[in-house]
Amino acid sequence: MASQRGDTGSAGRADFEECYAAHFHSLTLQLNAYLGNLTEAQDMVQEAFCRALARWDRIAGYHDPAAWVRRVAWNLATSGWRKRRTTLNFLHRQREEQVAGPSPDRVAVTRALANLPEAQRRACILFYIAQLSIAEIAEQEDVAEGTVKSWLHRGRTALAAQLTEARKEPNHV
Amino acid sequence: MSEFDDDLLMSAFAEYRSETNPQIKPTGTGAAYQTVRYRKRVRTTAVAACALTAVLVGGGAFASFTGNQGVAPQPGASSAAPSAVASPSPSASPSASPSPSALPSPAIATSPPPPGSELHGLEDATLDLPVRKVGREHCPSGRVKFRDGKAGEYTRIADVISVDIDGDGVFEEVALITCRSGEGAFGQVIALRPSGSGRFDTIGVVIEIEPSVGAGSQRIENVKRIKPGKPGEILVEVGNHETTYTDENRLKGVFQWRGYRWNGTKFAQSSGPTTFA
Repeated sequence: MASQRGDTGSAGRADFEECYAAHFHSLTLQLNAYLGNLTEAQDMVQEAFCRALARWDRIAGYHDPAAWVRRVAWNLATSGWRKRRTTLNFLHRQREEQVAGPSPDRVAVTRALANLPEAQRRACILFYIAQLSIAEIAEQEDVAEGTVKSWLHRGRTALAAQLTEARKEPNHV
Repeated sequence: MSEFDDDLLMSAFAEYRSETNPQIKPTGTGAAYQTVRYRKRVRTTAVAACALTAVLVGGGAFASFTGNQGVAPQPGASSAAPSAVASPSPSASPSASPSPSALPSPAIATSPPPPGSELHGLEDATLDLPVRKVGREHCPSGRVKFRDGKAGEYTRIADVISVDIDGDGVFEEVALITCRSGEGAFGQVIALRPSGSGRFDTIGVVIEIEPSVGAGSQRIENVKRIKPGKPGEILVEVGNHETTYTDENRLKGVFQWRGYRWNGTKFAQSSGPTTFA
């Protein structure tokens, strides 16, 4: 009954809060690297946690509840959810407090990621930021491990080339 | 891939993590609980509305079938409504599979939550009003503080309805804001997204009156009323030039209801007549 009211028990609540605290930042880092938009990334991660909370009694019983949240967040990032929300969030984004601009290195890595084909970009983000194993990436992407290795090989090579080139640019600080 | 390249990548990603992490501001679990409770409430209300509709339609069908068309549905039939309301089943919508790839589709909410006040909390809000096509010299735009539904001499919130414009299960507010600096009121319908703590973000203009080009024009020169249409749709009663200028031939004045929807980037007409025939 508790879950039908939208609440979980106190133990469930503690588990959920622990999962949220442990993974919100990491998931946002992943989606931000994929989308190049921090606000969108945070909205999607929050939405993924809301969907998890709505059925937390069941998800808490899974071997790795955080993996469920991660897959939902990534599904949101690669589905039309983003497009539907983009314009709605436009004004909200405009009023966000201004933060210092990213350093050239960060711009370089996000710009380099943006130039990769989507599958390679996802694989690199999941490997370097989410720090998943090749087997875990293959499971999330529902492909063979060999496919992930191929994506990673091509993605890493392209990223390294772009980052090396970026460091040669005269404006690089 | 050389060891140097690998170091380069590790270093670039480490730097990305350390620089981005401080900028991340989690919305918090409190907000997540609030969202989930709100969505469940919306679904429960929608289930109740569907159940009531089913009872009424069923009752009507029964009456029609038996030939007793003048007889109201019996209490026995309507008692089904409370039991349907008492056992909404939110757990039925999630996939039985543990795979999160089967995401629940957005809840198309059909019944808004109780508004709380006649103007749904907008009466004393500060709103971002878009610059009007007509009346910009008298009607405020930008950040405007309302008190008791009014701002300045001419501007007031005439009506507010709740519509889930993007089908995500969360209702937005749609307000008809009028500015009457002369004989007629300049109507502008705007959509607003509650952003918590009584604040609202302006999504955009649904429809507003357009500059007059004289009698016989097809332009919307009167925006009179708003009401919810089908899920996600806003119905607006609009009028032509002749409905606004009383010294001209009022017999040619035409009012009609037109529907508008959010198409992902802006509001566009989705139903109703497109001309003042």
